[in-house]
Amino acid sequence: MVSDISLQVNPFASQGGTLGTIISALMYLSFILFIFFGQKIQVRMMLWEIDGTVKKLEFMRTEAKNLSLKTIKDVGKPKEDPTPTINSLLEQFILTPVEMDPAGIVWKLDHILDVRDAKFKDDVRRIAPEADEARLNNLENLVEASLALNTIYRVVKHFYLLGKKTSSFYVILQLQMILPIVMQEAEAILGATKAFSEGQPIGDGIGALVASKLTRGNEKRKMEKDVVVAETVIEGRRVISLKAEGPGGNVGKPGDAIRRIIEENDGKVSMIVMVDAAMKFEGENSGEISEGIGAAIGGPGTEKYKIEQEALKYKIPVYAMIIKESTQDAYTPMKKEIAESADKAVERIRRLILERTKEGEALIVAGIGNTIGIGQ
Amino acid sequence: MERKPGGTYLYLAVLFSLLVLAYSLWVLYSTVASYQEGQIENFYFGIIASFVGMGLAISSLAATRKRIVVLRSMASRTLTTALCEKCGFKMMRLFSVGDYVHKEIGKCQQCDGMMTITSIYAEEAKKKSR
Repeated sequence: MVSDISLQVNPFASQGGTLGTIISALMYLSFILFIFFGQKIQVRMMLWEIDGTVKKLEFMRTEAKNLSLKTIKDVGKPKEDPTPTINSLLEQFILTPVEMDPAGIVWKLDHILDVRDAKFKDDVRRIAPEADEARLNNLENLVEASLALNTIYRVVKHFYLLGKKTSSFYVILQLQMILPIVMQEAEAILGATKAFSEGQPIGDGIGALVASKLTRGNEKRKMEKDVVVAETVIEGRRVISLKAEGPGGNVGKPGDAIRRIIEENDGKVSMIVMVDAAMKFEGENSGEISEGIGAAIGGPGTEKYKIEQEALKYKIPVYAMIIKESTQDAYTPMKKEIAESADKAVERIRRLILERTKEGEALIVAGIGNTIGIGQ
Repeated sequence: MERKPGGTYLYLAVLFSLLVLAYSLWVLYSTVASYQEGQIENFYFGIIASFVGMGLAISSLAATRKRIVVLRSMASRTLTTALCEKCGFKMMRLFSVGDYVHKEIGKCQQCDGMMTITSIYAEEAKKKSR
């Protein structure tokens, strides 16, 4: 009876030969090894996997840096070698304001971001003196993408080495768990570098494309901080459309522009429609349009805050129209299905205007996003 | 014909995996023969070796397939579409540096109207042949 059971558990036992004994011993040994060293083996395997990813990230950040250098040399015609400046820009950081006393933190952050943007642009201008304004904005975006990849690489490498040094299962486990998402983001940013180097529109620019289509052919005026405003009349309603100034890579400061337009109209704005690209859920199609309520704008939150403050002050309803896309779609050259959704979004805005406003009223349509490759 | 970077590596990986798979299948076939001849030790050894070989080969083929899918999705071309607002003549060409949406790119080939870029978008490589 006992031998029957042992046969079922280990078929090699019936052989009695040398090979059967060795295999049986190995099975028992591996079982004991897994009991005592299972976690250590798992840690080794995870570290092995992370090591491969870190090498891949290093390759990606080098690719992005080389592309930045090549484009700056081709477009900017620098007199000196731009490599030291690029190396310095890739390590740049900002320190956010203190959060212990949150009152006024938005304006402090806004100021810090303004200083950072101005310095970054000046630094890029210095190494690309021959670049015109649009190409300069593209180069700035390109260096920013390289900076983002460099930061991802440094952070991942830091936690990888920390996990290796401390042999902490939980540090390594957390890193391994988020790596697929991090790699998706890194691959999307690498895709963006090609678009930025050539000035191609990216998925994030769909909001700007919709705004430009709405007021195409009308007179434009420039507003402070890289925003362009145009007016048109749709079914007796005065539509004030705004977007970042293109075709260089730019997001502008739509919050400031909306505030100024509302003040110019003494608060008599019947509604604000914000059009932006937004993250789709897995399984949804890129280019689908959804409507909602609230300020559709990403970023650090300062522009959103300004728009919400003005809307509250004058009791103006804010409607959001989003065009769904993935992170990769947002950073990489605009896909056909996203580009085609622009005309559908314009139609839906027209319908929304007719439904929610009366003749003679004024309203704002804000096209949010990076306007690279999209003119006015 | 333009050679894609990394193509040789992919072909070699697929070829090697297929060879391992074929050899594993041959070992499995020989193992069955060993069982019929009563060589039980050879049978168990062959079973383990062939299954390990098949597992490795299939896993390698799956990883290579995933890599090919990723490379295909990365290979896209960007197209520029221009339209004559006067006669509606539409033109499509590959994107060239300096193109941007709403840029006027010259006179229409059909009439004296102005051609304007209406859209710039990326199209995946697999859609090219259709």
